[in-house]
Amino acid sequence: MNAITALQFYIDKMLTDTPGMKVLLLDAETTPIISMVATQSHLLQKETYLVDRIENNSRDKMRHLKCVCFLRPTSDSLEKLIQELRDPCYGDYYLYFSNRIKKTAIERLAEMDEHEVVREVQEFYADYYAINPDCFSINMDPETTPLYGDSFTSWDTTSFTRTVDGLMGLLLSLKKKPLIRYQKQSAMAKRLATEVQFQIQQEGQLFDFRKSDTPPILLVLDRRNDPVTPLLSQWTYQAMVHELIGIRNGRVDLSGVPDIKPELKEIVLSCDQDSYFQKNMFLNLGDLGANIKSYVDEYQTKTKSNMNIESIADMKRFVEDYPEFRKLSGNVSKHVTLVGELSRLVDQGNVLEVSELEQSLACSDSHNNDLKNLQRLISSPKVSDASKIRLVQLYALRYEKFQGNAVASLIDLLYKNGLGEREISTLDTLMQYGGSSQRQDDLFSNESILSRGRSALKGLKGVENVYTQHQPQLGQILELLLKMRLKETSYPFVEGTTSRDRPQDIIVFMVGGATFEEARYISMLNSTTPGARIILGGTTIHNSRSFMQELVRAQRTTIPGQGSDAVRDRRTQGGIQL
Amino acid sequence: MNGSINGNGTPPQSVACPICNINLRNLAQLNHHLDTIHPEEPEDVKSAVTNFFRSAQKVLNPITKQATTTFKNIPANSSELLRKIQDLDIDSAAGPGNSMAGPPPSGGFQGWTDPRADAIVTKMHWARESERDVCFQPNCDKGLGIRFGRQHCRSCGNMFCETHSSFQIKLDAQARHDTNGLWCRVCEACFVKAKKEDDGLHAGGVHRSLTTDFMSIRTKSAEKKHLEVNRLEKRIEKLAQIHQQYDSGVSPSPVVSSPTASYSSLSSATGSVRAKGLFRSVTSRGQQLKVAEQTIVNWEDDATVPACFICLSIFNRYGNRKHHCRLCGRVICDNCSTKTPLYLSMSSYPDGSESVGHTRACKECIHTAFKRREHAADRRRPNAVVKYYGSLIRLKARIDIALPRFQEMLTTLGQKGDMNQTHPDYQLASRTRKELLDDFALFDAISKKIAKLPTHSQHQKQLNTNLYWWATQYLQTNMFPLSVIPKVFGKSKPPGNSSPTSSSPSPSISSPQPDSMDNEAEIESLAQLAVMEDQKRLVESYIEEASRKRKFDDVKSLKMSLEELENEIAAIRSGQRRSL
Repeated sequence: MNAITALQFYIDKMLTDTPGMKVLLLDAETTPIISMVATQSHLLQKETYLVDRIENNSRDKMRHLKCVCFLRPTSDSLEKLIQELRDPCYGDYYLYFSNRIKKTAIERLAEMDEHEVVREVQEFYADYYAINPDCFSINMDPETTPLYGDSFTSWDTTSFTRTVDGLMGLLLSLKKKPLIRYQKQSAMAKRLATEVQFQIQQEGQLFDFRKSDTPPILLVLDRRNDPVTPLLSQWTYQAMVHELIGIRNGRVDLSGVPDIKPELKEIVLSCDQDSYFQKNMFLNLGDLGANIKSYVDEYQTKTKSNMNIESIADMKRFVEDYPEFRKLSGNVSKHVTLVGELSRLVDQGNVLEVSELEQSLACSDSHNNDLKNLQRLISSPKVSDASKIRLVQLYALRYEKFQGNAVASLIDLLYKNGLGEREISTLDTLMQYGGSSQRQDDLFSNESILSRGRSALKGLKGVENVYTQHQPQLGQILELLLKMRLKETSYPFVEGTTSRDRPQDIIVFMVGGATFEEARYISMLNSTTPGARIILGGTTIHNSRSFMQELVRAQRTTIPGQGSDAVRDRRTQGGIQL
Repeated sequence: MNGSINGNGTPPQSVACPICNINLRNLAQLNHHLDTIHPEEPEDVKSAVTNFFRSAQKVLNPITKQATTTFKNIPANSSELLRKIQDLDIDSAAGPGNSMAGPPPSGGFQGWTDPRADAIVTKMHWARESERDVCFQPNCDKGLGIRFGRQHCRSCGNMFCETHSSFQIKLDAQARHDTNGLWCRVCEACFVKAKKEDDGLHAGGVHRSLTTDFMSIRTKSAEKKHLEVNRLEKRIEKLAQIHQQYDSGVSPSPVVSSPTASYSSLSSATGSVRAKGLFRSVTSRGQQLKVAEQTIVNWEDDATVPACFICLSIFNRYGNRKHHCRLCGRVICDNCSTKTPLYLSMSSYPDGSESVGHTRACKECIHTAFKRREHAADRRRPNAVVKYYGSLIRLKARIDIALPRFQEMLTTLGQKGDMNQTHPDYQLASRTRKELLDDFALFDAISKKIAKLPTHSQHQKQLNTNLYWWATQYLQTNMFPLSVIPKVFGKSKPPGNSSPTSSSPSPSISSPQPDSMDNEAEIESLAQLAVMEDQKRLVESYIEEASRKRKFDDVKSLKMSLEELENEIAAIRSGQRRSL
């Protein structure tokens, strides 16, 4: 159960099965899939000396090369492939498709292969983006691929097929034939679960696996049930980088950093290739700072010992170590820059104070205190507009049902502090998306006396770190699932299947995007629960910005204008109340 | 119960329990099993416990938040109640299709063992307990006892502390992993092993080959294509003959001979530009050629075709004129057709044949008629990169075999400690080393040649640089260990490379032979020199790179090492000269 090695297996296999000098031809989607789990030098070792895109029309004819094509079987890529086969640039073609390809498409390709250059046609199900060993994404960009159809309860057709394909790819690459459970209230989760189940039945031969002790579970959840997690500021390394700067296909764009060195404008952040990152990706900023320091010290002692060359033996050792040393020096400067930038952004945005309030809003029940802090921060010029909106959003979610909440007056305060109509209308979008009527579970543990008691007990234990006390709701669900206490009434199995065995292998898929906070939680859970192997996936990996962006986009395309009206309504209502 | 088993007459090796169908090894075990697992009629147990829990629930009800639930509501809730009771694993046998694998109790899961397993899964292999047991897990030295617990891994039988045995898999009566067995407490190693079996990922993820499907469809359509290509090639050859005959002045019947002109017209458009005097003869000649060309293929009737069949542009009288493709006879516009060279023999195309004329053909025909042979010829054409690469790969294969062998030799040499240099093992090792170094040098030279190959495009250049880069990386990872080796050699050898073997540790074993010794040292020093120079080159390239990247710290230390290297090389050189 490791998403990264599963993909690497496929890559290695397709490259080693074709010996000799070769070129790897990719398309727009397979390029990031591969680049996230393989390095250039790894490809070179597999005799792959060129990597190119099939969309590139100006490729030279190099008939002495073999060509390994790894493509998603989309109509675009197939069209390009047909053009390529009609006038081939390379000698032999080995076609690998990242998912199930239609019979008609195969026929068409076969007819177009007039030079008979194709030697191999295979399906390799590497159709998802592996981020961590236990975290994957379908990588749907809110900018280009809308997730929602007509409303927050329906899928966009293209993204639906893409998601089903991605999940099928994951299951096939991990050899899992799961029982599927879904969140009952979510129509999207249900549709996805049913479709995946249907496809598994359709592809019966492919899913003919060895039986395992207990059937694996695919649990389909909806982001709507927990809109709080993506809104919180993050303090662990990976999550923080994504929240404050943004990780895109394993790359971080640092070009906005003041006085950045040209070679650090774009850096790769991969837990597979960078062992230092792997060790520290789940540490919080404080521990990270200490670790960075020791890392730099280690580097400096190495530099010193390198400066100190006295004998021929020293020199030989130096020459041998030098490539390793150079790698180390590159890595040190990468992480130092990144952590430096993180702490700069934290200072700049007053994130510590904001985060403290966020956590208090999300985790504890102290309305008056929170409201006071919130009003103070909204008036503070040091806090960014985005943070202000986010705080009010959290407040609105938290105290939606609270008698005498002050959402209206807070909106007024936002207006007074120069925030625009457009930003404030996102508040309403969010409430429509994830208000309490849309949620299935008791997100804040405040709906019944029992859960209140439980949360009070939790409070008694005390918190280790004020800034990271929030635990994603996913945690509770998984805890219940592992203990077999997850109710079938609220998380039913897809029709016709059931199991009364304790699950060991669990794949959680979050419709509407997972977060790195959850990814970290899963990783911790994996290491602390003996026998549990859990993988988390999402239609994308969100930070607060991309999360709101997606909601606002969906709102704008479906119900234009409604959001801001509603806010205005509430504002006037609030005025009357006040 | 016993009677029924005897009546079954099952072989004594494996007996199935008549109630739960578990395979047991012998009758004694079955007896034990029946006593422990099925002491009463299961139905009785179930109803008794269910009744107990029902009444307990009634008592509890007023306390919980269901305080308002009246007695009447209970029957309506009874299904939920039942489920609750089932969750508590009181009647796991009642679960549908779960004859053996009942769910563990809620709460304590980790390392939970099915109570039935105690009687079934063998304990023969368990490690014997003693006073001072420690957890079997590597890196865990907890003493086993009351404090950290004492648990046997049901699978491997070793003893572990509580935390390191909190995994579970299903085992059969022989304590082997079996997905139809019972949940048992196991250690991490056994868990990981079982999961590996379950995953079946040693062969990686699923993949499906469609090659045969593809090939069969292709063969079908390929035959048609081949026929088509052959037909077009024939036509080209015939057209070529016609053009040749016209050019050499011989006109085939039925066309009357015309004045020779070394000009083969394609269309009247070009003809009309010609000088007036020539006009008549040229056009008439063009006409004749046209007629001759029409004998090859039937030309489509102009009148019936309104638009070009490729680009669908509408024909009109002046702008977009109609033309005929000489190969297929269809009407085509000027844009979609080009002048095509004609060859007398297509089988030798494109190498070694010269065109004898040109004619008009549509894009499609040109593609079908020429592309296949062009492609095939391109692949046959020798390529410098391929040639060099082939020898690189051969060299690499040789090195990959020789290198581990050499390292093995070294370790054996090192173990033997003092070893005379005349010893055959030693000489073999040094010979291998020399060969390896030569191979590396050759490898390096070839890779440099590849990098210097002339290229006429960006992609080729990139290919060559990538190849070079790969070769350098290979050298870096594999040649350096070799360059360290002289240290190992040096231990059994005097430090001065060329000095006589006075300090040789064991001169008494065999009388030293000065001649071969000198030779040996000579080769040794030469090899070392080669390594040194290689390193020097490398360091120089590092310096260049570092200074380009403005890393002056690096440059400084690199320069120091370069100096050292140069000194050393000079020393070896002078030593050599002395010895010569």
